[in-house]
Amino acid sequence: MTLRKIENHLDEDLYAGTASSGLNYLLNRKRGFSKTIGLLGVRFGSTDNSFSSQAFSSQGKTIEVPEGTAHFLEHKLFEDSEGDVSDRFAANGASCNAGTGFSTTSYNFSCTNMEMENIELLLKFVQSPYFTPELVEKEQGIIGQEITMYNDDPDWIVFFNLMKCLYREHPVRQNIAGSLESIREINPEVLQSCYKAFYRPGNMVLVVSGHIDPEAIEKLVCDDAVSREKDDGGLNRRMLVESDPSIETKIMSQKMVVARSKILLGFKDRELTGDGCALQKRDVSTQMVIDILFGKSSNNYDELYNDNVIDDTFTAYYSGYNDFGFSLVGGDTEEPERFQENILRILDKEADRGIDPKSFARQKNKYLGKIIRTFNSVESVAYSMMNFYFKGLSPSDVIKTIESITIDDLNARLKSHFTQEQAACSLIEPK
Amino acid sequence: MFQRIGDDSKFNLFHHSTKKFKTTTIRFFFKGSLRDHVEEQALLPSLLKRGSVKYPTLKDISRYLEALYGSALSLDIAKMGEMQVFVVSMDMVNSQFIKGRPEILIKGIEMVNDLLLNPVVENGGFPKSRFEQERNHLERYIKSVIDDKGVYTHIRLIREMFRGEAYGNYEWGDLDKIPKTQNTDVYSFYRKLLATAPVDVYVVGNLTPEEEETLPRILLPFEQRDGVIDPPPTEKNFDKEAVTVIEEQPVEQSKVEMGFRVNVKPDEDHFYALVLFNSILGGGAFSKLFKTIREEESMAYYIHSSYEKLKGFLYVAAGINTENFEKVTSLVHQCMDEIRDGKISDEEFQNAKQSILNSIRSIADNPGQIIDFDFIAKTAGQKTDIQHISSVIQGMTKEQVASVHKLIVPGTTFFLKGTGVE
Repeated sequence: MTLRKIENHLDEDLYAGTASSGLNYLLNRKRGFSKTIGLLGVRFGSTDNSFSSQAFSSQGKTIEVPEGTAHFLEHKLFEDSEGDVSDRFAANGASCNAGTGFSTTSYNFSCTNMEMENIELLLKFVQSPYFTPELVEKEQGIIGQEITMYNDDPDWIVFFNLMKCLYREHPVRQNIAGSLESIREINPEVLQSCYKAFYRPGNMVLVVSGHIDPEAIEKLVCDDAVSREKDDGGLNRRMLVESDPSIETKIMSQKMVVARSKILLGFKDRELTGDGCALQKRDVSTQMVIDILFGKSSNNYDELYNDNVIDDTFTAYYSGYNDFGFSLVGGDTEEPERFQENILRILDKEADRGIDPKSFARQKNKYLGKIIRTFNSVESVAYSMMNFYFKGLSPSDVIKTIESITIDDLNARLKSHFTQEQAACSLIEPK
Repeated sequence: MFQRIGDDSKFNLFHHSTKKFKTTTIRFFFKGSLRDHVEEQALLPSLLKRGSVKYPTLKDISRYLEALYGSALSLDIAKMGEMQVFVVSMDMVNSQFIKGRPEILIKGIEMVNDLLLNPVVENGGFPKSRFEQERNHLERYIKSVIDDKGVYTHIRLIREMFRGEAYGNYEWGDLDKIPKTQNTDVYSFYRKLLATAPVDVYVVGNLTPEEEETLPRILLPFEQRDGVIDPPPTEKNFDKEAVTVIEEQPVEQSKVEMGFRVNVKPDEDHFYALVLFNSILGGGAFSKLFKTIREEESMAYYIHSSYEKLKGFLYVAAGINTENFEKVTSLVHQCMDEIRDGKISDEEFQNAKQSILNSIRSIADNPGQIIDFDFIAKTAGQKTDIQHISSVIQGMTKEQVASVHKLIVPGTTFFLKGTGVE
């Protein structure tokens, strides 16, 4: 038994452990709470469509799978020989759901009783693959409808068009759900090979937050692990390094039925520093720069809002992963050119001026508050702990990393990340 | 759950003491009426957010909140029965978790007080350019909302079904009236709201003894408040005809909403039979509407039912193909009749109960939900004891649920008929 307490200054009961199969688990006992969330995360997402694994070939042959496979696999796991897994959760008084992102897939349940039964069911169904040609064909119809729905969503389209501009080769440019053509190439063998390669205990994490007994969960997880194959590694995720990282398409425009244009400016990150504290530092410093330049507390926001360049649809954020990252600035506008000119002008001006120390101090306070606030709800704790785990961060690293960020880190990012060379623009215009 | 604190001469103050959360939440409810001045009230959140005497711009407010460890402030309008409620919410991290225990709560209250009681004023109104900007934004916001056909259908159903009643008004205002709304009218409406609207203030968090003592003294230092005027109570009407209204639009997917009036009083235990009725009918993937109309017949992309307890209004909403309108509406009645006839499987019954119990028990895990639940329950005259409500639900029989059917009166059906995209 490996359960250990994680010390913290937030008066939280946090525990971590590893089962004999290699499955890691993170637990947060929330005294006085009624709800419990259980999450099983897998380090497998839409960008993992090229890999090699000892499970298939000791020579390390590369396997390529169609766009949308991770998402398809997520859908398929909900159905097995007994029917729909969500009915079983409902019988246990729980609701369940799942989601696929660029680098992770997660399965979750939420309940106010029968916590142990639901954790057991979560572990069981995710670790019990069942793929038949009939079920795969049925899922193609359902996912096809989902893709069609996304194709009508201007926010989804403007984003992925921007990814296509920023990345020539990296699979982040691919739609997470795939395309109507690509999902037709998915069959039980494709799903099975991804499952075998990625759905291994060492590549997953169980996170539970809420009304729980940590020792009882430790026992449940360890008992479950006994019947599972031990994860002996051998997965080689292909980390894509683009042969030509320059931006080929500077602007992409599409017409859709919208009341006003949607514009999204993107900046491709070329300083990719791996994972753990370095990734966290990159992530938070870039977001702080964006908040200082474009947040509601900035002179720029004030100016842009008063001049009717932006309104409440304005958004600006950074998204960082191990092998890719980007900043986005966008919104709805009647004058996309004016929007773009203003944003680029501000970036130039601020790069010369540098970061104001008072603004930096406020950001630090804000981020500290944000981390503390994460522990207000079981959902935000569970998802944050899973994301930090997959980024290679321990809970105690999180606050330390934020405290270690300096104004020089921000100034360096401001000068190197937001350059025109790394920029592209995606536009949706009214038909 | 809540203790009343302070002297309630100017407003009601309720406090729920708990160590569960990392934050202190304060929420203010200013109760207005949906009968008139809807547009004036709808403009208040965005105008007041723009600045006050001590914090003259949005930038000053944001900086202050950032420095206060990322405190969150929101101003909003909510429709509750025939009330239009102006809701202001402040969420602050509890300083016990920060080195040096900086003062956060009192500073947060200072700002909210100034925002609410000392807005920036020019010539008897809000600053002209701000007013014009926010009036335009509101117009634009409503236009974008009606671009979402599902939301549009809902707003239209309510407008048709409750024509002539305050409930028929959209809480963010009428698109025709907004351009004509005058700055000085909005400002004088606001001064009147401050002087006469009933105000409930809720606090959830772990306060120190000093904070508990200070709070009632420093919150909302109104100059004078006498003659607080309650908004008129929500009226219930059961003698209107059932009609169908059809509007054609060039869209692919049609939308239908069927409205019903429910003759059940929220302050009776019998009310929970309605809660269960709604859950079994269309409260999720386990419900009759979902299983029959979406899964078995594949006739709806989405379908669910919902109810509003103050007005006594239940509705079913679905996204369908145009040609299935008659079949879908008939199946909805069929599902309701099944409940009336007790055709509820044990599984359906248990799933519905469990889903409601989960929601109810989860309320106590979220400060905002704890507050909203208490506020609405008090307005409806309902008990707020979660244990009691849970045991009533658990003890509910199929016969009790079936008996709700006769208290449901068909109202208007609104059909947004899609004629296809050119």
